[in-house]
Amino acid sequence: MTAISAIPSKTRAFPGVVHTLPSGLTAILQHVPTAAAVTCDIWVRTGARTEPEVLSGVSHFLEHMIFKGTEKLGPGVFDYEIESRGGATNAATSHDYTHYYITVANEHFQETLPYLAELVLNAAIPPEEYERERLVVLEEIRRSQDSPDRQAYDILSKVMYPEHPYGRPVLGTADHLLAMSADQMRAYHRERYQPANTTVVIVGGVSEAEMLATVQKEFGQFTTTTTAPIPTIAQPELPKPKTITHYLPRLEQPRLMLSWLGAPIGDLEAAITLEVLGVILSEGRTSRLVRSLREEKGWVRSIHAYFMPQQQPGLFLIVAQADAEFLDPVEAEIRETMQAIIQEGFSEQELERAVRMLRNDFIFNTESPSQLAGLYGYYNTLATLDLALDYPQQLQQVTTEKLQSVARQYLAPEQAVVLRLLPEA
Amino acid sequence: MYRTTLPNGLEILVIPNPTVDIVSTRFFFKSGSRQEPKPGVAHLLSALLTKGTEQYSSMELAHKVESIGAMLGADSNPDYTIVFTKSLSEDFPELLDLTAQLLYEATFPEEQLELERKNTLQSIRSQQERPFTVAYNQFRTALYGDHPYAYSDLGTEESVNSITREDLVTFYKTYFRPDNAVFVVVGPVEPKQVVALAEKLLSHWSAPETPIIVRSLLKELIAHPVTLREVQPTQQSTVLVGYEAVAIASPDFPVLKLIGTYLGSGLSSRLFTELREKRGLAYEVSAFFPTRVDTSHFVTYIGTAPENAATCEEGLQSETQRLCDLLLSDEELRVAKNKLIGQHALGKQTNSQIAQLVGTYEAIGVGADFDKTYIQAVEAVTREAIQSVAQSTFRNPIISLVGPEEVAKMDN
Repeated sequence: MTAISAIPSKTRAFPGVVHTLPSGLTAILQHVPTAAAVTCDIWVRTGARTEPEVLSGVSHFLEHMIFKGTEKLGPGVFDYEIESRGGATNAATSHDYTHYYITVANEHFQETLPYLAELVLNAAIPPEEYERERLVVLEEIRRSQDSPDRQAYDILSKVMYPEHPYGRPVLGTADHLLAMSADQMRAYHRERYQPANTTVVIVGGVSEAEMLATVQKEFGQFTTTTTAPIPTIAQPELPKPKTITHYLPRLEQPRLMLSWLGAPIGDLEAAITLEVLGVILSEGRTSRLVRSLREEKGWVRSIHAYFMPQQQPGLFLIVAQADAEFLDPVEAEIRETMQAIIQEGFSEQELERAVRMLRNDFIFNTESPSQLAGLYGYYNTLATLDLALDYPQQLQQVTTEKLQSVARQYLAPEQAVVLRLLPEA
Repeated sequence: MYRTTLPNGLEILVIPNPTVDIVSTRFFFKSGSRQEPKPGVAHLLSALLTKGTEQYSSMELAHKVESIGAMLGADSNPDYTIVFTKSLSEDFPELLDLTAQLLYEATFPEEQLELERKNTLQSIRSQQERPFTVAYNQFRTALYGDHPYAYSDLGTEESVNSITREDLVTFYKTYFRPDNAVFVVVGPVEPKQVVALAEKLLSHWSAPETPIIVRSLLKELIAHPVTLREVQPTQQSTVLVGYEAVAIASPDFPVLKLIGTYLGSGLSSRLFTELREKRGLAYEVSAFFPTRVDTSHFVTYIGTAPENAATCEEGLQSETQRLCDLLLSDEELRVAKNKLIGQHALGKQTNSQIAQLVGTYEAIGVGADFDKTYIQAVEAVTREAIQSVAQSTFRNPIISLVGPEEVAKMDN
């Protein structure tokens, strides 16, 4: 039985290889000898954050349209080719990235990667398909409006980021989508899907030599066609503390959300410290808020504190679900707790518990090739691959003093923006 | 896979996997919410199981587990109840010691019951916030009447209010016994060491004299076509069309699983292609067929703009009807099989996934080898079998609608 030495860290070499193609495209490849499957995950450094406001939602809509094929691949052909071989495929868009992935049995690697490369690089965006797929995205927006938690997050984001694109939903709005044209989308695709913005991650039971040869072949024609830089987005400003109340139909139980602006992911030290703070506050029954508010007092059904790292400062959130009569005392206790950690700090045991939990979570979440591919692609797109490899070590560097100073810097109770979500009378 | 049975009747399955340093375990009890005297007992029992043993309080237990960064919990299902753990291999012995206490020394403190009862009642009410859950619950009630399969695992407000500590203790004593359990371990472990550890920690866990009570199977359901409606001011309407379906032991089971894959699995599935890709009617459209010991159900569903709800209902039904009327092409059949078999393999990439799958088959009575025989049976399915099982399944649709006023006006 081996112990924690299995964690990748800077002191150990990266268990894979990183290649930069002449075009500027990054390939991160890792052979996992025992894996029966292989994941290919293409990450592009574009998302809702860097969209022009008039094209709000274009990154996500484009992700849908990519699956509608190319001149060579008709609509649905890609899905069919991957899934008929027993593989799985999907994609996701956020404010900071867009990525597309397939997972297939090792023996299908050679024949499926070309489809993925063709699809992502050569999207045709046929006009008829564009019109029809827009209806699908409009349904996706409607569906998100039926989810109170999604609604709550959208409302809060708007308040936290009044002048920053993180305040706009990734899905965009119906108005923007209806005003957008297929030509605008094609131009956006050409401009943003450039080799230098792209990372291809392959992890699984195929040799690195085979991975590299396939990447060189399939992405060899992918060359830089524009040097237009991705727009620089000013840092979000610190929002003014305030409390907003919003009423929703169909809400069965109120939500209370306290929110602060955190550190950018590139400041990994602060980002990890905020993550540790979230665990100390609400992960497990012995955490501060769960112990007191759920287990001892019974005021909340659930309470979660967590940091959402993003390329630019993301949110640190505390979200509670509780009956209306408890919202005041719950909020008061959260504020007292934040005051207490800033003034009195933390015990070594609290820190140790949280670090151990996060360290193991990291191991638990890097078990399969698809999880590893996601981790590498995410960090390389938002920051650098090194940060993913540094994570376990950085975690061990967190001290109680650091926790206290980061809490003081980012999570002062008087700076909190509060959202109360209540059922419509 | 290594297999043995302890003298007290506990079955042990060990699947060594040296590739990661993660040990995942499951104790499966072959009794779930199907055996409940009141809906919600197994769920509440699961919520309380880790909240006190003769040796430790709720907080002491939590402290021990969290300080080694492990997971320990319990969960209920219609056909079984599980206690699960996940840890680094070095922490496995300590964690098993704690887990063992939950199996025969749980105390179900009264104050914890009141706390979890309150939280469960809130969870039941919050189900109303999710239109799909509302539609699904409405469907299950219509199909199963007062059989336990009718309810979500949470139970109903009425039943949860009436559950006593005695109910939990009785369920625990009746079903949490070694001769009703399967212990599955997957990770970088030596089977002999696991068995030695289990003998040390679990051999004094004894089966009571009393026999295990197994609730009789469902009487034959008499499903008849019906349309149910719940009006809610939602943006989308949810249209669910469901049917009574076979249990896992039926020879039709692999055939219907294949039909589920054909209709609902992935971006190239029939429903996705026809209703989303070609017609833009929905973002989410799918089908599923849960694995059950007793009479199961087959569900197709879609979320759509209210003005398209009637079109979608017709679209879902014409796809199931098509399978009754036409034979699939050889190509369609081959692709569906590749998909099911390939995705089944992709569903076994982590130790927890393997433990869950193998343990489930063992616990619900078809045996761990079912994982192989099931795939062989899928490979043998013919086009004619698809048509015949479609005909026997897609007979009496139960239609469940949730959405704004329009759903109340839709014709049958």
